[in-house]
Amino acid sequence: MDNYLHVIDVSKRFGESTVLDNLSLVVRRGEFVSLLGPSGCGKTTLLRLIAGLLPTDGGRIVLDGKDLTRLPAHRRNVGVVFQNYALFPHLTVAENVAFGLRARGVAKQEIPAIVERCLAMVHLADYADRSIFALSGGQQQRVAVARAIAIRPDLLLLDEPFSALDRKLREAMQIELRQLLRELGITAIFVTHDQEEAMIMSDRIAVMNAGVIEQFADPRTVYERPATAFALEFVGTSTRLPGRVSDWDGDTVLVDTAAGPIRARAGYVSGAPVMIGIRPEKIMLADGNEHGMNVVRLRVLDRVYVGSKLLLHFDAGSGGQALAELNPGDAPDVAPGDMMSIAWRVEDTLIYPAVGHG
Amino acid sequence: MITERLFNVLTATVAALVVVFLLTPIVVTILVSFTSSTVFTLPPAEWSTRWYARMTTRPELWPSLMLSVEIALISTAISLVLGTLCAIAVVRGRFPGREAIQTFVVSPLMMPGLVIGVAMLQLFREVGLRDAYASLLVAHVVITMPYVMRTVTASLSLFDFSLIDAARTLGCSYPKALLKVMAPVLAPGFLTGALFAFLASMDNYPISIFFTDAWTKTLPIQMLQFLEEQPDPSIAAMSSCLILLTVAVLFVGDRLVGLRRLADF
Repeated sequence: MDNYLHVIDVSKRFGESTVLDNLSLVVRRGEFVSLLGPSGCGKTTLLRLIAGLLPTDGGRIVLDGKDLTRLPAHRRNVGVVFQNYALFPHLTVAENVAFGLRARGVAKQEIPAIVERCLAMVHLADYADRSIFALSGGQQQRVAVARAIAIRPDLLLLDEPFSALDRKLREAMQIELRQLLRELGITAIFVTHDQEEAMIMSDRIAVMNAGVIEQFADPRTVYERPATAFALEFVGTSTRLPGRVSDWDGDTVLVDTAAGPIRARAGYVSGAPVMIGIRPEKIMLADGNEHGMNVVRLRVLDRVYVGSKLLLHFDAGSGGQALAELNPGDAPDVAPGDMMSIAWRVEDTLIYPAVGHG
Repeated sequence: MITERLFNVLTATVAALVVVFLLTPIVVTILVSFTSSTVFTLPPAEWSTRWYARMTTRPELWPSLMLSVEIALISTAISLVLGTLCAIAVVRGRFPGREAIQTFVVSPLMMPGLVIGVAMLQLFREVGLRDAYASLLVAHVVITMPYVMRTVTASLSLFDFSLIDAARTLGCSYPKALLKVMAPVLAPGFLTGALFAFLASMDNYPISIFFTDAWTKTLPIQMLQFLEEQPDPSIAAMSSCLILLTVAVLFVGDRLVGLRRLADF
């Protein structure tokens, strides 16, 4: 897959506040990329810059070799599915889908066939003459998708399109939309604050925070090897323990934490404040054969049975908690208050410089 | 249960009485216009349409009717443009004093017409505007603007501006997006504002009275003059025609917007 969209050193300021600061992003042809981050991280602003709905304050946006930076929105051929769908209330479903075709001057006799095909793709063929007020939220969302793909966009942008749908419908729509875009081979950028949604939908995830992309990688890498403490915290659940490096030999550091000494593969000088991170499913019960593993003995705070797995919360000292995700059969008779030894591989220990201490 | 039913009966009675109270003068006017007698009698001894015939032969009527319609149409058109621009500034702008501007533009609705009339008369004399037609037109723009401003502000503040963004990404330039999306979506607001503005201009008396002269008289003023000089039931006929016009306007509004929404503004 070749590189398709280049966002190069793009900045955006609103008055005094800098929303995006020299941000760069490269998306491959046919790829589905998620911009994942908390509200206010600049992900929607980036989307609007790519769509041409906002002017950039520096930097360039190049799509398929064509510089879009100075092109107005209506000449970019970038489709957008808006968060509230932004369907035209004075038009029917079919007229909404035809709107972009009419605006582009597609020959009149060709329009009905294209509209019909696009509505069929989103399973709304029978709804062409309805008013958009007669549709459910999920159906409105499909119309918005049909309207955006009817113009055969070079790039499709989706701004939290599922946020207004209930959970069950949302999950069905996620799978459906992903399949549809794969079939059509459309390159898409998807904005969301829902990490699970980003995991399900994307080929790659760009984790954004405060106007910066902290990590840009496939979902598995983002989950297993978060590049920053923010990515660790924002994506999935994890145990996070602050500590201080007490020893260092070659490729391993020893970190003093409230839960006990923990080894991690990294290079930090002694005395450096760090943050230790462990994914809950990496933690197992210690069985006496802990070569190459970290072992700590902690008190059980709570035990949560969720069917397919058993979650154990531990007191990790200094008010911190550790979270382990086990098979329900692994610890059948654990009760809050018990002391248990838990272990995880040194390789699975994530370590980051402590936030706020340089 | 009993008290609830009693309450319902009571409210229905009061509502009915209010409707009767409001409708009686209108019904009386229409009945009187069909009398054959030369004086206002009720009920008419004999029915005839002679006063409608007489009305059309009063030479002063047509010029003043044409003047009123002309002033109402032109002032409504000007108000639509100015009021819309003003409403956009108030709803979308981010500057201090937006609310003050809105209140100021709408204030002619709350102030006594005589006060506005006297004030404008003094102002016009001061700046040397003596032409009756031009004075009337400016005054009527002031009268009609609040209606446009109010309805357009209301519909604009409900307008979803991401529709404009959507139209732009679908291939419309910004001006075209305004025309293709904003204009049709706001059309009910424009229409309602224009209808009320037109009617307000048509029947305005207290402000117009200051700007008329012997050759430039709007319809309400001409009618009052008829009433003073040669009162006969042809005035009731004219009033009936005006009532018919109002009903027609409301009917059109209902067809295009819906009475419920008209009442909302």
